[in-house]
Amino acid sequence: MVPCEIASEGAELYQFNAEQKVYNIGGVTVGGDVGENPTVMIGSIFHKGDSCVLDEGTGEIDRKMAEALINRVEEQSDRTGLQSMLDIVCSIPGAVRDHLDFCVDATEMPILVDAVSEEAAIKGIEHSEEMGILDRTIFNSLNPHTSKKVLEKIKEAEVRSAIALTYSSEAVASYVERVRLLETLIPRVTEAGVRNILVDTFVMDVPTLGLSCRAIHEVKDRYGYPTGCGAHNAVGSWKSLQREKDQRLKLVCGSVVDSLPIAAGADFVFYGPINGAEYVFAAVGIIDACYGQVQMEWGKRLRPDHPRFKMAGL
Amino acid sequence: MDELIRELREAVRFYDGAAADSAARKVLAADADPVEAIEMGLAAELRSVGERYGRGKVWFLDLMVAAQIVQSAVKILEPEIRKGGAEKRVRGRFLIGTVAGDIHDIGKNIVGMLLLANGFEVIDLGVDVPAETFVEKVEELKPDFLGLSSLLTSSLPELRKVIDALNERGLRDEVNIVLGGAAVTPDYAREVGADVYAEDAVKGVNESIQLTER
Repeated sequence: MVPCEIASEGAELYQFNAEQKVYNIGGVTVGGDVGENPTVMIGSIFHKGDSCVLDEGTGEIDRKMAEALINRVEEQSDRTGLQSMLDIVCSIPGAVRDHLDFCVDATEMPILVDAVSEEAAIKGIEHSEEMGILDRTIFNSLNPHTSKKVLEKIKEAEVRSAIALTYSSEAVASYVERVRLLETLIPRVTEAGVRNILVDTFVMDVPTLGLSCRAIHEVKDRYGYPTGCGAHNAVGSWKSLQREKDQRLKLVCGSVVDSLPIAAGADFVFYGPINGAEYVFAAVGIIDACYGQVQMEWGKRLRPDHPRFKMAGL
Repeated sequence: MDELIRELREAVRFYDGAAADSAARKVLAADADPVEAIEMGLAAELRSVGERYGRGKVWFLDLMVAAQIVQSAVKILEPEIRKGGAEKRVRGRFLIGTVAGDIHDIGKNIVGMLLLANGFEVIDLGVDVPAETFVEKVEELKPDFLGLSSLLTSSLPELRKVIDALNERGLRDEVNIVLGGAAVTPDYAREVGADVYAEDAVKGVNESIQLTER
């Protein structure tokens, strides 16, 4: 609600036509108006090249190191007020069960089963069901390439939360195509029984991050789904930045990249490996604190652990 | 013709698809040589974008958009080339695809665009392609190169399966095999007898070019 006429001028960035869908997934609130709920920070673990993975063949992990990193993410959440989820990259089918078991024991954060193959997807869903953690599991991701077998497994296991990824070769260079693709994806996702649809507007490099941010606004405006993107891909694919020796430059660029979608109204961001949590949380927390103030002027009472209140004491 | 070539190159350089299509139509209207327009204009500028991408000077999106622009403008020129009985000169025919069990296509698509930029004819079989399909297409299309991509260790055995199947059908020596993707190591590529190990997209394409020049 905008209280006076002057406040509505230029308020488009902060407002959407569609009613915003807000989900509670494993105790984390995702979605809503800009600045209303703390951003959900999604960090990855056990990705290719992760130093926690001791053997990329068997998937053996350094449990102490992984636990310490997960604890650091939780500390950053407490420190900033931002919410967290853990994206488990399931690239080694034989290790999916072990990796899920480990993470479920190590944290109460919601878990994303980031399945890079059909086999890993099936194993991840099956094991989440066996462990009884589907209420805090999000399948990552459903996209135009997702097989019928995976969709059937999602339906059978009653997976309720999933990321819909707006990726196709045609959509890479256009935010309009991303939205169009989502329109075709929604019926497939709902048919699979998914109720909590979170939309990832797909990032490949820096210019596509711009398209992704524009799509975020469009998706929230038209459909109201919680929306975000894998902003950090823009850093990973940036060859000259990867070669850069100045670590501060890398941190500055990484922070801007990971924060940009939040400034554009996103509800969540994939900020890359959890190792980088410390700096990214602070950057994103600033935006939440700023936008939270706009909500306050509009009469919204924010939750007490919102970054609007916690960032001052960082 | 020089002015038209300059126009074509500038359109690609500034990622202006409408300008490239318009320049291609001007080539036809002026009765100028469409093969020269492609080779000296469109392809030359796309090669330049590809080279800059290899050096990390432009984004992936730039390469992709430039390739799309060139493909669109070439489509306008091609009927005239066929009418005249001439042919576009290509460096070789390249069949690419991601093996069965793997649906990742970004790396493969980058390779495809770099190949186009370097004058190859590219036939993309897509993702999750069964070994039998690769073999059938090699037999049917007789490519100079077969590029197989696998990002996942779990789909790595598929690479060997394709090569074994080509051997069984007596087709292995008819085609150069290029292996790439995050799961592939130099040792693995050597072990299965690949002709080129593509450590990354740029190196894979460069080594393939070298093979055509031998």
